[in-house]
Amino acid sequence: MNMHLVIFSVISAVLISCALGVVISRNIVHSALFLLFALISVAGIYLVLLTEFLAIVQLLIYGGAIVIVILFALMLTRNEEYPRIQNNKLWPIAGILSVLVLITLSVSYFQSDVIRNASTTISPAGVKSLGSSLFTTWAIPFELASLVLLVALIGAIVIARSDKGGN
Amino acid sequence: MIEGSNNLLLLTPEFVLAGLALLVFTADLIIPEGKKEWVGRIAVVGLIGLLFVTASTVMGITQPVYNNFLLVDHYSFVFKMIFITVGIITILMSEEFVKTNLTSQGEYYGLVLLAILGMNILVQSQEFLTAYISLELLSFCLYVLVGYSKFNPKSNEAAIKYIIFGTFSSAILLYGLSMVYSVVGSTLYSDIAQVLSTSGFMDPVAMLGITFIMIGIAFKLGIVPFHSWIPDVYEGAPIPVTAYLAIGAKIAAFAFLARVVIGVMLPAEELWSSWKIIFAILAISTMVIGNGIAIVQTKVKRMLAYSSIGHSGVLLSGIVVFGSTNGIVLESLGYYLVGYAVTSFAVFSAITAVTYNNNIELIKDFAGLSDEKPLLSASIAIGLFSLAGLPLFVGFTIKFYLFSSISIGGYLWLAGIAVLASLVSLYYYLIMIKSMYVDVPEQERAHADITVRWPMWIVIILSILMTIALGIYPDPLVNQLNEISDLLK
Repeated sequence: MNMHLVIFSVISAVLISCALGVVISRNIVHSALFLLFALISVAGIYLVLLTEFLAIVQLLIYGGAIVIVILFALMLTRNEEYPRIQNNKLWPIAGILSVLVLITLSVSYFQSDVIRNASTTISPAGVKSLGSSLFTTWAIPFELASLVLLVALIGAIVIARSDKGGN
Repeated sequence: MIEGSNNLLLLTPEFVLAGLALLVFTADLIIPEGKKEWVGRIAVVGLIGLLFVTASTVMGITQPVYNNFLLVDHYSFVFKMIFITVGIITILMSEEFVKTNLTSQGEYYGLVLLAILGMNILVQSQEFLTAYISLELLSFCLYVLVGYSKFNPKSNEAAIKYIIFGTFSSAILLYGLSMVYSVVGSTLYSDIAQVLSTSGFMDPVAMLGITFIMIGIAFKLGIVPFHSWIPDVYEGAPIPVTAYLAIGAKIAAFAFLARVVIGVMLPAEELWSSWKIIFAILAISTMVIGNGIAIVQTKVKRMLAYSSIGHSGVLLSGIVVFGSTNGIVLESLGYYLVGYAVTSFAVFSAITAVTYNNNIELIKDFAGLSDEKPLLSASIAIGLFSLAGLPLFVGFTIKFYLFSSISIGGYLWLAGIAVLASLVSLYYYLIMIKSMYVDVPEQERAHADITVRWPMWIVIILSILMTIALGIYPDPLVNQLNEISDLLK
């Protein structure tokens, strides 16, 4: 058992237990904290895979921005107003379906050759190669993504801007 | 490493369109409040110019661009022309509605333009990530447009629902894509097809991935059982945006689905033979449930939403015979989409004209319209008759073409169900027509305050004329579409 595997297993264990904590925890603030730790563990997995850029981005965007937004949303709303899961009469069906999807996914991954054929060596994907492939091979989707961001910005301004009146 | 990067000129229409959208956003800063319709008119003139630019730069060319990520061919050319035209008509029919009902009027037109850009790139993608990002560009524009009348709680609700369903379906699509990528190691359609068509290939992860991708697309198209967002979103959205969703976005999602089926599934014959059955089942459930629920609707927009679900089912049954016939089915699908667009515009533009400055939303509120506004009610009636597939109108010819190519492909029973579904649809369309022509209105002169301006007249008269002309004399259009059927040969 090499060192990589040990570190990976530890991080995965933390990740899975935190992810469970997000779902199981009754206190929504605890859920948000568990989510933060789960997202940080994902960054850890990226580090194990030697993709340090993805790890940093994961920390900044998910660990930073997204969790902060969730906490803000929690702060600005009142706890009593949250509907409970039990209020939705369909929750047993949703639960059964989720378990079925989980079983299907696990079974197909164990049946598949994906895991057996996976390469055992990790080739580092540095920032440099990522950058060059983004700006050469993937230039068109990359440029399109900038337009998606523009639309998101304009949309946010249009929706949130305070206008006088309205009908 | 980069193949074909020297022919970026083939992307001229996309560059021009992106530039036009930015120009429109800039023009919005200069043009003073109260004259914002000029922003839309700039967009219309630009789009008309773009039609010529597109025709002069990419017509008749078949060439992969940029690493084979995009393919400029006749299929994408035809659909680009359709999307640009849909954009022009949508902007023209929006003008009065936007002026009366919406704030931030200038940005509305820019977002419509960027949505066209998303559709244009979507139809020429040969690679899933490019397709995904252009689909997101389209969806983001639509999320904002659906929530555009922000003082209307229904519009807010529709936007929230649309965003949640839209991101959920995108997530499913991406998840499926990641599974396929983990097996194939590439996101190009051709590479995936090559792996899938290896005989005896049955990797469960890849199969599950393909399933998830298809579920994602089915959500976007509103195929039953992934249709539940459609009625609420169509009802809450501002009505020109509803038209844009039901026509532009639907054609785009459908063109994308056809591309994926042709590019990824058809080469893998074993896979396709089982997926065909799934598509047939989905098509039947979509036709039955869409048309069945439409009967009991009392609101016009919800009725049209369910009817558009029914039309998705008919289109899906065209996809079932891919591979069983020569290219004729693709040609008739293209014809169906154009005919559906023209006809729907006749209905939606007249309904926009009737409802833009009041709260009419029930079918029975249209009572007496034929006496007061004969041309508007004629436009709705012609459109509905055509959607139901009555002869003389384009709706009959498109259905005739599509159903006969479905039966040539050996799926006569599927065509039979589609014909029955059309019969059912005639019933609920007739309810609407009866309301306009026969029913006595509750109050006199209920529609007296409707004023229709020239951009709307252009749209209405043009759609009526096209609905009739394309039904009687479809040759020029069909000849154009003839070439896209090469994809299936």
